[in-house]
Amino acid sequence: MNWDCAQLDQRLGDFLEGRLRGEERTALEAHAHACQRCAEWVDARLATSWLRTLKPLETPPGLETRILAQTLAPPPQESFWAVLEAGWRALAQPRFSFSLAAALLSVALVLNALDVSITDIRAADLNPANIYRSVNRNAHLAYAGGVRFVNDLWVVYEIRSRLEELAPEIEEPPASPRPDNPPPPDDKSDRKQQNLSNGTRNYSLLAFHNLAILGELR
Amino acid sequence: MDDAEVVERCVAGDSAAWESIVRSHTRRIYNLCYRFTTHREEAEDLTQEVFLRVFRTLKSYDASQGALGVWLHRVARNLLIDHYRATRKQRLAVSLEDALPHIEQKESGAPRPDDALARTELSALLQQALARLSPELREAVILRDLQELEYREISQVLDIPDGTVKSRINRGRAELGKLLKRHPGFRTSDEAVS
Repeated sequence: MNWDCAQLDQRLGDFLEGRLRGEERTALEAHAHACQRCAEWVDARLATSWLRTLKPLETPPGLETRILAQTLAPPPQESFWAVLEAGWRALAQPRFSFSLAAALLSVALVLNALDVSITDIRAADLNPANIYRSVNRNAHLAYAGGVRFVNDLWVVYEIRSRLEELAPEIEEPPASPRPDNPPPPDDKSDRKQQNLSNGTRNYSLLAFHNLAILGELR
Repeated sequence: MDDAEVVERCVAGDSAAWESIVRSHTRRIYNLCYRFTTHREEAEDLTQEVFLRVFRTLKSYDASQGALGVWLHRVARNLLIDHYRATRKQRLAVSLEDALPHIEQKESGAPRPDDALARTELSALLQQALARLSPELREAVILRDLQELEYREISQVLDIPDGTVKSRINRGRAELGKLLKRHPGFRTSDEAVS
């Protein structure tokens, strides 16, 4: 009797649990030993046989009694101090402590960024009306700062536009190639170019001045 | 008295009925917990926890869903998986490299199959190898080969189809075979076992 992989798959449970007898068992074992794909089932069958020889452990002494005592006895009344201690134990867990420290650090960083000093806070500052007034004031200040910033940007943009209008006239390249004998310099055109350069420089200085003012404002 | 009746009496406050449940199922549940965790103290604590949980939820027992023993196994299995997940980090600290030399060291003893000591050693190796299976394969193998539950009952405990149960059991056995075949006494012990 020759068995193949499909037949072994079909009877795998019986084979592993040692329910095959006689010719069937011999044929299946022969196949499992010869077939590379099914070879692992030989060790699996042996492991199963060994597992089934493991004897159940005895119940530890007193376990049943403890279970009965825990389930049938009335629950003990916990004292106030015991509850407090349990609460403290929960708070003292490293995970909770680190989370709390991280949260406090975040609050401290935010307060520092908002320029709030905890020591300067008075009882009156915690009045809702005062809190509202303070928030309202800060919001208006922030809005005014934003408006000023946009206006400054507009000025800078205007200056840069003017500069760009002037720049092509200065940097315009000569239309024709330079002759071997250059013509004598024309005093009038030279002066004109000089004036344009001076104007550009003045605008540039004005732009830098504005930028410096903006920097101070920020 | 059938399971449903016993549970009804427990729910009604009959402590003798509850005691009979505890006395008849503690050993099996303890064995399940021990084979899964490999630690006696943990197994004891978990067994207590199982019965506490069962006691609190006795009202929810439905006899049509299976025998009381199967329900207890299901509660125990859920608790074991919770425990496995909760202690995963702790177990990862003990690397696999630490576990392997344990098996290798015992190989050097080369016990003979007819030796009682060899059997004890192989049982210990078996328990170690079992602990190295993934929880899915381990629970399936334990329920079938050590707790001797039927496939249908295992399917109820694990809440998976019969086909998956068989596949997990066989894969678990194959993994065990791979782990154990390095042991020289393992193959030679074939005759001793069968």
